Amino acid sequence: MSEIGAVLEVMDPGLATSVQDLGRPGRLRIGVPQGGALDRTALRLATAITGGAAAKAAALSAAPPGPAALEIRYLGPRLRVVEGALTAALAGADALLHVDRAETALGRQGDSAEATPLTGLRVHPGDVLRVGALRGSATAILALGGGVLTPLTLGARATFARGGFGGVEGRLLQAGDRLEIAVGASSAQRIAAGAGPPRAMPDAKGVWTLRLVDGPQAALFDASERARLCATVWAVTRQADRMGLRLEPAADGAPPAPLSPLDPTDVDIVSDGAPEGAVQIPGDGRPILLLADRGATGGYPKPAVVASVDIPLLARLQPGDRLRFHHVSLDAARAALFAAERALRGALGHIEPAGEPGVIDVEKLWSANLITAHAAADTDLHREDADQKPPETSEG
Amino acid sequence: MDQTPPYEGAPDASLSQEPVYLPCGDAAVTVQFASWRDPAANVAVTALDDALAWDPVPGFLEAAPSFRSLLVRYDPLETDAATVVEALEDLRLGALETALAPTPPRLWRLPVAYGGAEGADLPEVAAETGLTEREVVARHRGAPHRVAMLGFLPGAPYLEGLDAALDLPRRATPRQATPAGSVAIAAGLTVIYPVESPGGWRLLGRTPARLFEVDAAPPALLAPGDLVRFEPASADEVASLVERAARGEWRPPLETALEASRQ
Repeated sequence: MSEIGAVLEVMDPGLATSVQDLGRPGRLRIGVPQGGALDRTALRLATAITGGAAAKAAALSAAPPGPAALEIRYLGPRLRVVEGALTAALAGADALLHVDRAETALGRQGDSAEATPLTGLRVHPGDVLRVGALRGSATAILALGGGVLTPLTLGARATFARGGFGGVEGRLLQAGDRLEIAVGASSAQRIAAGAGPPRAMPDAKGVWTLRLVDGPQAALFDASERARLCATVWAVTRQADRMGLRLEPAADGAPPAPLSPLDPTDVDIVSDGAPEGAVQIPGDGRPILLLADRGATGGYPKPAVVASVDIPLLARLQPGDRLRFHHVSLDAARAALFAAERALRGALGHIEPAGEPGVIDVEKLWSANLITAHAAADTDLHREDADQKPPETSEG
Repeated sequence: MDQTPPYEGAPDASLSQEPVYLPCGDAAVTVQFASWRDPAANVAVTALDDALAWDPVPGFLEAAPSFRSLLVRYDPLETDAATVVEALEDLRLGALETALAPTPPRLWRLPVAYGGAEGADLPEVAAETGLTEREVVARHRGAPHRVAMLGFLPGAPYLEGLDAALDLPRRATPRQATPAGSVAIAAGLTVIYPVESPGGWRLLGRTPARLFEVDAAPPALLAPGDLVRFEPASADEVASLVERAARGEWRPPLETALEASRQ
């Protein structure tokens, strides 16, 4: 059992924040998908930064369930540190992790600090962590110390809301929830600048590319229909959650005819197992991309499956985003996955201490028994320094 | 990859018939034993699934048995599709031999309150099949049903063995909420809803059996290959059993099919 190092209280849950880890494989047979974080790359990076040596080893092995973190969708939460100290770090989206410092003996009230993604931030009792609206992604991971200690249910802490179990009472976070956090790294760390794994981006027109390999019902579709799946620019509709993303043609002109199998009766197949990333074509011919909390089986044909290397990218897609599919061979998909995994493990090898400019290391002062009037005076001096800097916004 | 097979398998595969190995992304393969739903194929799926559980292939993550195919997920950093397919084919040939002496399936006796508020669609099913309500119940409780797979919700079984006279399509308009424990039919199958959920199946009755409990071992009451016999009970009996089951004081009776045949 992990030792509790800190307790947080949820002041504002954000839009749809849930506890997630690497999920619970082995239960698809009883109708429970592996689930877990939509963006496993972000989860592994963020938990390795905040969790210390054990979490880093878990991130390298990627063996489920690993430490649990908060998965944020669109709009982040506000969390107050009730007791203990911990490191927090954000990954997966362009957003800042803010902390509003509590009033202490050192008079830090009103201080605030912020950290960019992949950079740890040390927080203490009374501090309030907050993440605002996400940019560049629908999903981000907020890692907290050595992991969120909601109970292990069916082998994992991941929230499976459709089944009503995992995480906090099988549901999204609510205001007032208390989260126990395992002891993690004892100081703030970060991934060294420039050492983060390369991040896929949309092209100049804002269109994402997702690699596809064949699915179990590929042969039910004529080659020309499969080519059309890849030639069409698709848009993500508002029907987008942890179960799946519904797509529609993005074309401004006349919408292309819906995709259909060779034999029209094949729109209903005998239900079979559906992997994460499966491209399902229902009767209306508009693809649904199945995500972590999908049904374990499906009765619509699956002509293709998103390559494993691009599954974390699905977490970033939000309504209105446009995308195109690119069919690749199994060998090409595997080579790309190996390259991405090498880059991720390389980043995990570049975890270094993170300085916190503008913030006195209070813990070090406490431990050195230097909490005196001198220390308080230093803090004030430091603040005057900061005030004298020209505001950054005045430039250019 | 060179193992991509032709899509169409033999029309009625059985244990001894060769499956087709279908690509299913770069982290899974689908082993398909028949081109349509087929009890013999389902037996073959269960046999291969059992063999895989005893002797997992390297890099194996999990398997999901369904009516006529087995989804096998693997870690693509550990192994590849061609290696997995080869290992599965070895396992299948091994399973062929052990299947000559199958273990008797488990037989569950599930009480069901048919009709009334518990089975709101019984009158409609009777009207559409031209049977009386009593005849519909008699045909549904008749022969044992076989669990072909678990699927749409945790612990939710799809049962084969529905009397051909009761083969109706799903409701034109699905219900927003179908109560937990609902026993429902459509598409030649019976399903049981483990929790309240939307659904388009036709409700015949309600069972007090709890199909999925995260703290139980195993969490799913039923497993593929199990037999289920539905036994009519009154609404009051079922209501009382629902309460006892919630307190952990009642579970549906279980026996092997062999024991049942001796009675």
